[in-house]
Amino acid sequence: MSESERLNDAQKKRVHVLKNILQSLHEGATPESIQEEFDKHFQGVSAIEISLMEHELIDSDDNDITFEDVMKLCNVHANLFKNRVSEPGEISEFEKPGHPIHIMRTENQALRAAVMRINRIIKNLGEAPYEMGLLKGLSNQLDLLGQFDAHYKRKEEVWFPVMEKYGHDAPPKVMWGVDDQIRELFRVVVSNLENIETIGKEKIAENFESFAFEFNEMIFKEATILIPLVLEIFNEDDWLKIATDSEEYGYAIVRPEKKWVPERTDFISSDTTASTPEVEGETRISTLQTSGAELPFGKGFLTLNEVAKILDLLPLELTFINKDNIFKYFNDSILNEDKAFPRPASAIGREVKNCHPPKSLDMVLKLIDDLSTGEKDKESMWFPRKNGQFIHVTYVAVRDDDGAYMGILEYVQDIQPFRELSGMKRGLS
Amino acid sequence: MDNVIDFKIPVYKVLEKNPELKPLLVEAGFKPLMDQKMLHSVGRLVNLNQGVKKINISIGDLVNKLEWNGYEVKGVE
Repeated sequence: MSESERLNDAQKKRVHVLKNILQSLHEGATPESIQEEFDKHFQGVSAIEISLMEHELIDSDDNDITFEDVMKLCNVHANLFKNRVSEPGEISEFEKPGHPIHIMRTENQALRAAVMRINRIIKNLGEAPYEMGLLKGLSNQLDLLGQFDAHYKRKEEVWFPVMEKYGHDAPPKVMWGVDDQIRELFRVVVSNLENIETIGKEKIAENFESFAFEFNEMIFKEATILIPLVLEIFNEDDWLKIATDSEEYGYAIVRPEKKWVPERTDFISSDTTASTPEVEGETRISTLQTSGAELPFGKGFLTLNEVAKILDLLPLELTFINKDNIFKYFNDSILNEDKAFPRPASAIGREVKNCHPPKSLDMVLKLIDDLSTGEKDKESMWFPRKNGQFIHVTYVAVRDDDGAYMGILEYVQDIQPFRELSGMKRGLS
Repeated sequence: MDNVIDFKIPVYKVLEKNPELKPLLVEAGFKPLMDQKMLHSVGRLVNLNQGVKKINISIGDLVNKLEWNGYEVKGVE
């Protein structure tokens, strides 16, 4: 059975649409102009399926779609995720200089340019004895290209562990194996170049062609499979850690223009020591804590210190996001390893949509919408965990006395201990 | 990113497009480029045609060097 016979009707239609989209990119259409068409047909289609289709279209003779056209489409593909987390026209985090994805893509462009320079040099080599300047240029450019090792190492040592953490074991294993084959092909080129006078340029050209083929294929896989996949599963904390950990492995050809700093809301004003009586409560924590001021709460009074201790004793994971969807507070009563939703302190001040992987984002945004508009006041969920816990989660809209929306409180509790109770206990332990 | 080096645009722009070119230019005689301040000031005003005259090297040598490294040159005066 041929490839096309195995495809179902929906897939056939998608191939057709993809071909038209790529064809218009080839003819000079801007990525923006075909975004809507792409989103309409490829929402929820796996990166691997899209990648296979793209590959087939590049290889087939009945069109003039090139590698470059597919690279342009990769931005469009990435934007499919972006458009769900940012306002139209807004630049999303992964497009900013210094973001690990931005670095990967810039390096790949620079590496491809180096491959093309080397192809050009080899073509110009002419007959032996070879022009010394060209040989020196060739060796220069191979040195530059050799920096792809830093690119691979970062991917293997920094990105892959995060993928594995989310249960994506297979793509890293396969890709790492191919990386090693490419390294070996490159080593052959470099070592043969030393003996070019005896073995001739044809051999070098042949070696380099085998390398360049696999190398370009890897760039293709990174752009069409790896990046769409990780964009869907990594959250901003993962990216921050990756950005930091990347530094020690170095970069290939191009250095990041700057350090990537995602946007955050800062709740502690920089001049907390200055006496500005009109500032909001949270900016004056340090002074209030020591003052022990009695604050009116509900039916009585509590000091800030008492409030903090009480919140940290409630047997619940409490999380609060404010009306602007900024993740603002979580308590600390449950041990991190027992938490159903461990939170890093670095997430405070972040927009809530950035704390979730895009695949769960739709549900999160719907929930926020329902609670903030008053469609719902409360939503509960429950599920068992592998560690024996039975988790009960409640999201409740927080409103002020006039009913104005203030944010969402989430409380999470392991109710397995309660489910196990029977009979009664009315005395002391 | 392509490999065309335009001799008519400011050196700063050239290096923005092809940052890997810097060591080659420095080797060819553009020593001041190593200084970030010079790159950001003079580099924004001077193109490769003008730069070659300032540092007094042969434009033919520079073109050869770039070609030998796989670049295409344009706008050479």
